[in-house]
Amino acid sequence: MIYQATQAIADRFEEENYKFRISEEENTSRVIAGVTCDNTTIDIHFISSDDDNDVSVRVFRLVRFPEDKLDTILRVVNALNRQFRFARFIVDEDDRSVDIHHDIQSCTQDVGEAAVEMFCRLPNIADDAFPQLMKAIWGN
Amino acid sequence: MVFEPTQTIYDALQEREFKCVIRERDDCSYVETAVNFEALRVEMRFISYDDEHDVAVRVREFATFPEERTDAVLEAVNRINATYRMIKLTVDTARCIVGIHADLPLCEENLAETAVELFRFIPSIGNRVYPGLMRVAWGDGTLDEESFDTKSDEASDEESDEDSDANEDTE
Repeated sequence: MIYQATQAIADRFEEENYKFRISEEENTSRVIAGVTCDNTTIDIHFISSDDDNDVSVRVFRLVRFPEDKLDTILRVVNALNRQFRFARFIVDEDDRSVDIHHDIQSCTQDVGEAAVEMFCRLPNIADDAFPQLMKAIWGN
Repeated sequence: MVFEPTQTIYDALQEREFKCVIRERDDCSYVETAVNFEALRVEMRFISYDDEHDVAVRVREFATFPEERTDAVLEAVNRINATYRMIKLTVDTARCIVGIHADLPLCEENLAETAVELFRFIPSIGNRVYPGLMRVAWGDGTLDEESFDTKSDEASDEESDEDSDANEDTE
């Protein structure tokens, strides 16, 4: 089923003429919007698992890295978490990838507007963070 | 000067009888408050740099650690950040300090409620992860998966109402 926050975000994105698609899973529904940045291309997922407004905003696999770079990536990700507001950078140790997380709070009054704000903020953050991560992975 | 979000959050916390004070700096104003748990004191600031609603919520010194445990703490902090929503832990590697960050969105009209929600949520999560983080920082250095368990989220949120009554006057 499509939860109300998913529908509210989709309606708001329609108004803004953003390109997106809706995906339904067994326990979640999500809006997925792709963005091409200067340095990379990302999909932003706005995931709802109930009819509340607490939406999980996720960018999966911003980068992937080899196992021997784990310690370096943990340090860079921590630096990114200190540098950027709103975005929570996460190292997925099993997948050897870096994700970006943000969460819209349940008591948010206008979940569509909050999603639009994140749709504007996260690509800039991802675009700035991407070179820092790639240098850590591929630099000497 | 005291920015509008600072006054709004202060009023919301006062209305709920949580002790807090307003501080002013040249470039910002903030609400300062503290919550005590058994082995933990969480000092929070709700910082505004203008009249917009994108308030920065910060716990500057949540935990300390010895320098030689930096890598282990970074790994633990990443695990915590992957487990818990709404907040992120950050590590000041130069000062060996772990802090907590959260940010309210610019568009937030329900500022008072979201601030109060974070006021309850942050100490609740802090109290949950603190023992595990301390074991990594000062104990045997092992990551304890149970410390990062989220199954009792609801129960803990309910507890936090009572715990928050123990917040200290920050004046």
